[in-house]
Amino acid sequence: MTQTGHPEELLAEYVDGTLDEHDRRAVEAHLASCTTCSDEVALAGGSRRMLRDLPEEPVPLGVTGPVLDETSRAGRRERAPWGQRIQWAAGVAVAAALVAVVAVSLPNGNDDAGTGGGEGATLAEAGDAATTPGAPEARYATFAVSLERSNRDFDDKALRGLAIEVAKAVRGATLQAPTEGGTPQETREARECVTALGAAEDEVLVRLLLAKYDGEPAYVAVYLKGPGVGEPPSRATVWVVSADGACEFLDITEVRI
Amino acid sequence: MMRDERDEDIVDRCVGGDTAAFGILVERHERRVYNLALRMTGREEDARDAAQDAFLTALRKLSSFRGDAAFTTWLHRITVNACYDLLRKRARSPMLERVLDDEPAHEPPPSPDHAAQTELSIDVRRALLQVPEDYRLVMILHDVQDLPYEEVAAIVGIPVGTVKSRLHRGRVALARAMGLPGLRERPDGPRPSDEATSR
Repeated sequence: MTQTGHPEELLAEYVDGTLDEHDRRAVEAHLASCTTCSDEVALAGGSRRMLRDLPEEPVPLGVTGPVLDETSRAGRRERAPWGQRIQWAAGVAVAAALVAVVAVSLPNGNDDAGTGGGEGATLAEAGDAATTPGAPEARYATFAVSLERSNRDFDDKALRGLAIEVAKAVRGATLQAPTEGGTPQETREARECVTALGAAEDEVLVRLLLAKYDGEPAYVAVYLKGPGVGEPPSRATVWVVSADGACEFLDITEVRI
Repeated sequence: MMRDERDEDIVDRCVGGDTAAFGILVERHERRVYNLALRMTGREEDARDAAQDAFLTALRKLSSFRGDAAFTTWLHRITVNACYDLLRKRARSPMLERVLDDEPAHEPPPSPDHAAQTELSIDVRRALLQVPEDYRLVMILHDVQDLPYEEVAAIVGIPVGTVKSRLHRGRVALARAMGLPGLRERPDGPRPSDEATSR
């Protein structure tokens, strides 16, 4: 049940017809006495049918042409001429501005709190270092973190605790990159693993842990995400992927800053 | 080249220098990427931009893709980010925001045999845009693109339970935006038009 008292998660599956016998009976018992839910189930069923009937539209000409041009150009050169695409310039500028805003909102913190150490690059420095004005790399700028080893065995609650911890450090401008931890190679491997599913371009990695999740080795990565230009990061997101080589998605949680 | 070559193997080839092989990935996935962008943004020109941006981003980041993750999941996630980027940009630029009623989203070619269906799908598309983006996304991925809950969770970056609750809320919101009555517990009961609507 959700906090509203209605089993929304089960209702979606009920409409999909994928509930097992036990849950299906439980939902039907609830529906018999809850007009709100029974009404919603009827509405949801209608929507589901309409959405499944939506025809797939053909791709208009010219959508993927520039992409294919890019692949042939990339084949001829080491790097593609990213800066030449005007339509991308705006997006790059947005990302660069976002990094700058993150930097401004997280000045060199004091050493009384946060991850301690004091020698780590602050987000401001990392942002500066990673950002060449106008360069497309700004889009992918990340905080210069190194892998932290942790004995913690995380679960949902602990992940949320970590996200809150980082959010507080952001609010207090005390967030710093840890200086102790894995080798650059280990950090690189961990980073590749957690970004295997492709973090958003405007997400900045600020903590990277090798710990456990439900008893199994896992990478725990904390990202900051901003709403856009002119505003500080608004959310801290924690991703968990398996550290057994498969980089399998395990869990995620998010808190507002 | 083999038509049934795995996406992940093609990625390996691209990263190894055979960038032209990326064209195969584009060909395989362009419809899903474009249609996801079209349903999310509601406008053909935005969908074109988002789809293009997604593929170019994927090409740029290909070396960071780990073959252990499904390529489709990774590409969908990039596409979703491209859509959100575009929607945010649009929200910040009122000049770019146009009322959908003034400019129909994307009219498919007329098809007399399927006039009713076409009309209905236009209604659905417009109603979709009235559903909050986070709910809309989950519905598009699960109900339109038929992806399982777990994959939607990985693409969107939310727990599976949240996928299910957003799905339910989104479906209800869509039905209300369409003006559908609930089929039960209504004084007038189910109406024939509802059956026609749902086919």
